Amino acid sequence: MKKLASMVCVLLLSVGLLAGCGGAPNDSSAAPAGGTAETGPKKGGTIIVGLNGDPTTYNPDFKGDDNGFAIYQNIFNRLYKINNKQEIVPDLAESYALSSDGKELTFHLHKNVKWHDGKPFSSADVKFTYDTIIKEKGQISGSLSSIQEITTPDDNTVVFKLKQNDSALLGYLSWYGCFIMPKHLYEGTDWGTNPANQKPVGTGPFKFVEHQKGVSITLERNDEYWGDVPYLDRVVFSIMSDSNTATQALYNGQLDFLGIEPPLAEAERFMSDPQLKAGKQNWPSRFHVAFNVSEGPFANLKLREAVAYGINRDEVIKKALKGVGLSAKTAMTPLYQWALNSTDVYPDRNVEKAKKLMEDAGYKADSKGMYLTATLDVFNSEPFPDIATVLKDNLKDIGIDVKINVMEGAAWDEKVWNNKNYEFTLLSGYQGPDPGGLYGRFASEGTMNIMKYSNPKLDENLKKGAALVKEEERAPFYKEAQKLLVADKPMVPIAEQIGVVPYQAYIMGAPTSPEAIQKTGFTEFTYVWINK
Amino acid sequence: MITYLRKRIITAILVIIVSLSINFMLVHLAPGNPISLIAGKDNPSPEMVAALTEKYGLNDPIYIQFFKYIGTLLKGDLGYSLINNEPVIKLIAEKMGPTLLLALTGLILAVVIGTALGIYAARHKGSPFDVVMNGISYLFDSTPGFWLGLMLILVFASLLKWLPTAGMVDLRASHTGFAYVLDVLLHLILPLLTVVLSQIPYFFRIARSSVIQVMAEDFITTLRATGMKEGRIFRKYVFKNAILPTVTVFGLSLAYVVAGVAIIEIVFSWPGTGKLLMDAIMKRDYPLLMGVYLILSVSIAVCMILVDVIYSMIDPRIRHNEKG
Repeated sequence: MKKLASMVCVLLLSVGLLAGCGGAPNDSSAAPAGGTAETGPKKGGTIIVGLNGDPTTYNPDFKGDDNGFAIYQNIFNRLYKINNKQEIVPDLAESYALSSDGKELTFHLHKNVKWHDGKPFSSADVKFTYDTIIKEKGQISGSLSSIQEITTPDDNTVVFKLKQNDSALLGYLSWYGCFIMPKHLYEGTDWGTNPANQKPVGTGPFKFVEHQKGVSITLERNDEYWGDVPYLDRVVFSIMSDSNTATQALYNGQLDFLGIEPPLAEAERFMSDPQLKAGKQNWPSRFHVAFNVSEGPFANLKLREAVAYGINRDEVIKKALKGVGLSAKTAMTPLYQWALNSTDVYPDRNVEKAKKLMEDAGYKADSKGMYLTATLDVFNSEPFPDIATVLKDNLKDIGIDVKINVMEGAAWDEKVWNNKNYEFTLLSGYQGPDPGGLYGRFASEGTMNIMKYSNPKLDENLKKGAALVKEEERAPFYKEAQKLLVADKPMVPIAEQIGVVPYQAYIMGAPTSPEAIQKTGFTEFTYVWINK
Repeated sequence: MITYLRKRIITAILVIIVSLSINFMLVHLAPGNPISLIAGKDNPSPEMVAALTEKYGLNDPIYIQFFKYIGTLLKGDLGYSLINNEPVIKLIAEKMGPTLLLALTGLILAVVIGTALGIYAARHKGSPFDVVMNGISYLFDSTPGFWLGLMLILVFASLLKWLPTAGMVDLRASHTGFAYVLDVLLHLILPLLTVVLSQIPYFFRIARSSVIQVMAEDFITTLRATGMKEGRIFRKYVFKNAILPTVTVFGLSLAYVVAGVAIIEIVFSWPGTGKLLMDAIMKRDYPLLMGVYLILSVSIAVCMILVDVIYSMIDPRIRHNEKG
């Protein structure tokens, strides 16, 4: 589980799956009769949630830690947070205001918020957190480059002064690696080795109790929580490294939430088992083919177009994704509908057109009908090798003999991600939390542009889109950028990623359920209660 | 004996140094590096990557890194885990207990049961028991541990619901004292069964073939000719000779099992070193990997010395040779 365009992407995907579910609140429900809306939520009880491995730190902003992310959301708060519908909703901040020139972002904070150790929370904690992330190069520091200065006019107000308007910023402040940390515990210390990294103190709905390495992490309800106080007494994360074992543990009732990325082959049972509910979420992450556009065969646009005509999306979704995915033909995730260009899209499969493009590109078929042999580098994590196998079959029909090179994650990182030494590869990965996410992946200077793709017109459009404030002003630039992407085809989308989050039918208020979907983060258990 | 031991210890130290050097080179030369994972892929600036590389001393040439590592090792320091941000020795110590509990108990049970079955089969060579046990031993020998583990989960946890699926304790209950011990034992059964079933074939086959071999020796025939009873011949002459290969294999297996239970631990979410080792490999956590390898090579070396000592106690010929 947890997914950006690489192993990290894979990791994030895991988080996506684990957190799961937003889009439409469509948890398949087979809830037993009893204490439902009529009787109201019941207080008390403990839930057991699967977790892939031990978090390496409880400093929530230090570095990417997918195992930690599920827990941070329950212990800490952010200024704003992204809910399971991928919307940005208030958290520690009640509201925000953006100045007319877009250069001053002011947050008004909730009053009477306390840290778990009883100390009062204030705007100074917010300033300290962001100053530290930037100074210590925390994991999201790269996305905070537009911040010039943070000021705190009073205890409940924080002002982010920006070098220029940055419409994607609010999304980054609501997502990953931006949890507000206690200044009184971290100030003047090494934030990498501070003792609070092992015994975290947050402002969130649950308090940390203990971590038994390799076994479990226990949280308990924060009765003094400033927001809606949780129903559960305790949340226990049970460490289950193997997804097959965890799935059995869910079936056997040892887990309440699977919590980790399920084997795709089990998705159907999750939906049909009367003992379970399955939350689903359309994640702003997509499986796609990425080309090395600066050298090798795919530097030739005609070949990239041929591949676009060669892919059979439905077959990939059916065979490799076991039906868990949606056909992807637009250049951007459809989740940000206001900025989506649904006119300029990638073509459907057409073998004849693809072959013609191969010939136009100057290739001649050999005796077996093959025009070209190309290597597809993939990392060895489900479902990428399976997608590669279906693609190999698809592309054989258009005369490309695909050699699949399955690599271990770290080896793939080095060859493809860092050295960009590849012909074409498969990726997924988070493309949010705003259409501004396109910049990192496709702009000439984008840090995740492993395709070595560069189009100054695209760069300009993405920059303009981020510099404007209103959606209706921004949308035309993003739509134009998508048109350019479809024309240049540095990548070909295959399927929108969907997370499946199974849990026991007696669990109510799950993060993906209609009751909680708009209020909670991906794996926040504030509204969960046990109906039995 | 003292001279002998001294020689063996010196050899063992040399073996450890050689194995450490090879391991160091292998893990550092494998593609990939931990900085990519620490820095993340989202937006790592080149300065951040450079600073991290410098911080963890990864921009020195490999041989310098190696000597620096040996230097800290000689001070008794196994280093600091890059990914976990904690001392390597602490991380390993935290997880060694459950691994030893599983591996040692499993191995001892496998030796006792495997050897007993092997001896019985050898003394009834060609009987239906012998034929069936031989077949079963090959079956389990060729079954991967993780698959066997999953099958046991499916049968005993999912289907029959007799035993817990995974983990070491019941997280829904808060057992203490004797109840806690019982709970751990209950959770231990399936992973232990997996280890035992995977290890029994070795001991079964070794015991069986060495007993058959010894029973065919001329001196046994002579003893039989004297009219000595089979039971006495076996107890006094066959067993002592036939058990020697088992002792050797036990020593070797101990090291193998401590490392080899990793995958079984992962299947059963058993909180041992398995997941730690796997993550260290996947994330190229060099100091942690080297720490685990060091512990493994030291324990293999210690086991080998112990085996030699036990051997010399059982077999007087070895003592005499060494003295000579």
